Amino acid sequence: MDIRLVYDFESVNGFLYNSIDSCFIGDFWKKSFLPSKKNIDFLNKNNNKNIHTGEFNFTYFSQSKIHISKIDKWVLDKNTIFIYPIATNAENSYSFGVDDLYKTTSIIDLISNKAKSFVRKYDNFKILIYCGLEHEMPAEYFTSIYKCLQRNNINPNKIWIISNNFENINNNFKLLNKFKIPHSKKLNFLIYYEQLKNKANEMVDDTIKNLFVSEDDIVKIKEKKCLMLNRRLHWHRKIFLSLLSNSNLLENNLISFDLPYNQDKIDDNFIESIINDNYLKVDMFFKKNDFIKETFSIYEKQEIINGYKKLEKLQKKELDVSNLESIDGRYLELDNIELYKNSYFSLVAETEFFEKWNGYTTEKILKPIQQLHPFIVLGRPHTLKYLKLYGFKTFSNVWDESYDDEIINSRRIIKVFNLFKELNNKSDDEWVEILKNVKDILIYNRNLLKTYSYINDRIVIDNFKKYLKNEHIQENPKLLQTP
Amino acid sequence: MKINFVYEFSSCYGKIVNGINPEYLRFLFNDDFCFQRTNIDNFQSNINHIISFWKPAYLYNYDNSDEYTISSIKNFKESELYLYPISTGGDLFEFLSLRTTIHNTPLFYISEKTKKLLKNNNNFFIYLEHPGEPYFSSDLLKKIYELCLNNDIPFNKIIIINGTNSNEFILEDFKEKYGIKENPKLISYNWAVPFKSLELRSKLGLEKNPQAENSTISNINHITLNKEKKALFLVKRLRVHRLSLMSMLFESNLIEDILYSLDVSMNLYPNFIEILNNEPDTLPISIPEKKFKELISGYKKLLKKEKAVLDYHDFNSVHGFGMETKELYEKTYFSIVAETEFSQYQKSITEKIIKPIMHCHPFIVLGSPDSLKTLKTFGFKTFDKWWDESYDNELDDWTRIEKVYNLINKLINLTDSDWKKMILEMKDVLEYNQKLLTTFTSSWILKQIKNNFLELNKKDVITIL
Repeated sequence: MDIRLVYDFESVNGFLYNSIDSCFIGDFWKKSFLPSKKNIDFLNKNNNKNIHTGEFNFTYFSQSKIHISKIDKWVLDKNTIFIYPIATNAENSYSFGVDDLYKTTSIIDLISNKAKSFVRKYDNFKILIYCGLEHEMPAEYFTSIYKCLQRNNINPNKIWIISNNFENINNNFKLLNKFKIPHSKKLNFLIYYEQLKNKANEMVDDTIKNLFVSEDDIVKIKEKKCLMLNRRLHWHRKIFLSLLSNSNLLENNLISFDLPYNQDKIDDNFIESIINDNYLKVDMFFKKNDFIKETFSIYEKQEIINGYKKLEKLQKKELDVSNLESIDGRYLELDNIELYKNSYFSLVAETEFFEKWNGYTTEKILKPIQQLHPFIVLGRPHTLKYLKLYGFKTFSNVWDESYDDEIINSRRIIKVFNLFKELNNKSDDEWVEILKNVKDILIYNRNLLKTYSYINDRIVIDNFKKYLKNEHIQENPKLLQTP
Repeated sequence: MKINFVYEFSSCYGKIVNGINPEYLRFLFNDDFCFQRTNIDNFQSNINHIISFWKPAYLYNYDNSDEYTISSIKNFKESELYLYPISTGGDLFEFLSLRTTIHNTPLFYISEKTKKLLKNNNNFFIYLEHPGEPYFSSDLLKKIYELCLNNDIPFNKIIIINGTNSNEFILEDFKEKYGIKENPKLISYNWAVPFKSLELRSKLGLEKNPQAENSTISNINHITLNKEKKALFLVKRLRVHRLSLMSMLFESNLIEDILYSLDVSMNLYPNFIEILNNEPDTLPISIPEKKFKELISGYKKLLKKEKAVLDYHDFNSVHGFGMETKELYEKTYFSIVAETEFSQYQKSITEKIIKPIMHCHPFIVLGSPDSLKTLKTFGFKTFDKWWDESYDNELDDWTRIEKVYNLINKLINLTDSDWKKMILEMKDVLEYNQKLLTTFTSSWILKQIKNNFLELNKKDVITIL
């Protein structure tokens, strides 16, 4: 089976993003259609709108690009699958027409009529939406996509969405059942953990091998207990940092945070929000009883608020990076090796925590694997379980990992906090013992990580084709796979 | 030699014309690049100037050709020619932003990438096609030169193809007048011959062209019919040479024997009398003062007539293809053809001179010198066996008008029996011409292009058709 990526437009700089909003064309021309960050910023600023489609970085078929004007007859050849690729950019809420400004100009609305007619007419012409590193997919995103498809007369089963949100498949069914939509008209999801591949590529890159901790450094007495790096202070990170601060646990650990950083984008009156339980994510599936289950107790709230007041006095605690803005969008997401050498374990504060529809992990959880560091995770439930699906081993032999199965968010955060305290209280000798017990796991995990590098691209391509043929995939259609 | 047409932007319906303001691409985006559905007139009224959405067509039939987007060309093959086509859409003045609304010209919208490739590849040129109106001049060439300079485009990498046969003179004049050493390549393309040939062939069932459907064509048998009038004179825009001849015909009453069309609302010189009296030197034709009285008197009569309709009431809707009416030719013995251009520096022919050939009608031409000579290069025969055609060699504009007028006077004063006798003698020529006109097929055009295009390597000015 041959696969071709079909594009609507070709500019002086090659194929142009599909589903691009035409309002950007004039300005894009001025920039010779070169999609540098600076140019895209210019486009956004000049149009008071964000360009919501981008470079299709699912690069496995980059050699097979073709212009749509050339496939009129070719599309009849059933041995070729024609993929109309769209890449979301920056905010999925823009791309999927959730945000008011993009209501009628979602990436689906902007598919050319020619492509739409092909997708309606030919089984072997499909639309592939690649979410890149943006995996958030709350209920309103799903409903918006289905509505967009309906008004554009496109059967959702012709749409394939690639993302690392492992909840998408279950959530999709949940929604279909709620609205009694026949399963023959369901969206298709594939799971692609792009950061897993990126981090694996770093591991097989000889030029940076000295940036990783050596196996000889695993079992040693370290200066500090825990390493916790924070950039954007989402709710769960602020809450957790507040709990740490309240218990005076910031000092003996390597913990970074910067309250003013990105404050304009995370507009929360934190203390008031904790009192009013604004961290709760209420959606169409939220039940009254959930409220009682999900909220923090009065006592816990007091601890969080007290801790936060202390954080406010500190404002900032830096480790390897003093200006966080300077590393926004950096190419090489590697932290200073000394941070890992000088601490026993990582507390990984993942990007997602409260949003039930956003079950995904990022590069953050892979960093301790690269650096032979044991870790606990402050993230969505089943994050460890998801890692295990990729073959990684975790640390249930040395501590309690039941936090991973805790689906009530407030309870999970407290469980992780309690585990943190327990590990923090361990002596150096106890830690050396733990490290001895997890050494094999750490080495195994890092070796496993390497197998997901570009060396295995063939497997991804084969998996992709396999899934594409069998359109009704029930669970875990992962594209990355170890040989 | 293979010709590769190079475009900057390709939509889902194929390549988009080069040189378009990218802001307008937005408008096309919204209509899915479907030109047929797009209300271009409405769009243009919003932006207040005319945009050319025409794809260059003169080399359309070139068989050994390909289309590429600039981003897809990896290297320029030495043995092939690469052309970056831009069309003026028939209005060079609008194209060059010389009319009321000032706007960036298409040369402004050529990408940096294209400019760089133009500079670095000897076989890559901007191919500027100016179809339709044949007017061209050294001043227009200067404007193009300035635009090239302002937009960092190498002037010598432009090939201009147009409908004038005066390119050689214009280029010399440009160099002399402005002292500029660089020059583009200029190609003369007498589009009118294959253009009307297509219409005739379509009407004769030799080819299919739906736009020709409404035309009716007179055959040679019309020469045996009784005629209502002696001559046919179709006039739309009243340029000075047409206005002068018309005024003379009105003044002498010869107009009574002519089937003519007239619409004074299409008078390009509404102050003709004022100009004659006060500033005659501003007219493109030098008219002897002694003629002013006669002309003014005739012109007044013409104004009084205001409008004379033959086949189409709305003159604005009349254009050169698919609007032929055979009855006009059947009712008259000969045509008076008033061509678009008249000056010796604007030698050209348009569809107007081909119309009588289509209908087996003899004709006299009020046009630039060598109009008949140009026709003869295509193999057409003219009528020097029956009347004096020395007007075609006359360089002085007014003398040429007078010669044509005198000839018309002579021919109109012939009796019907004289005409019947003469036109029967012409039968072979008329039939031959009509038949010859059918032979300018697309394969003929292709042959001409192939034979002549390569001359560009040796010369700056060539004629390919």
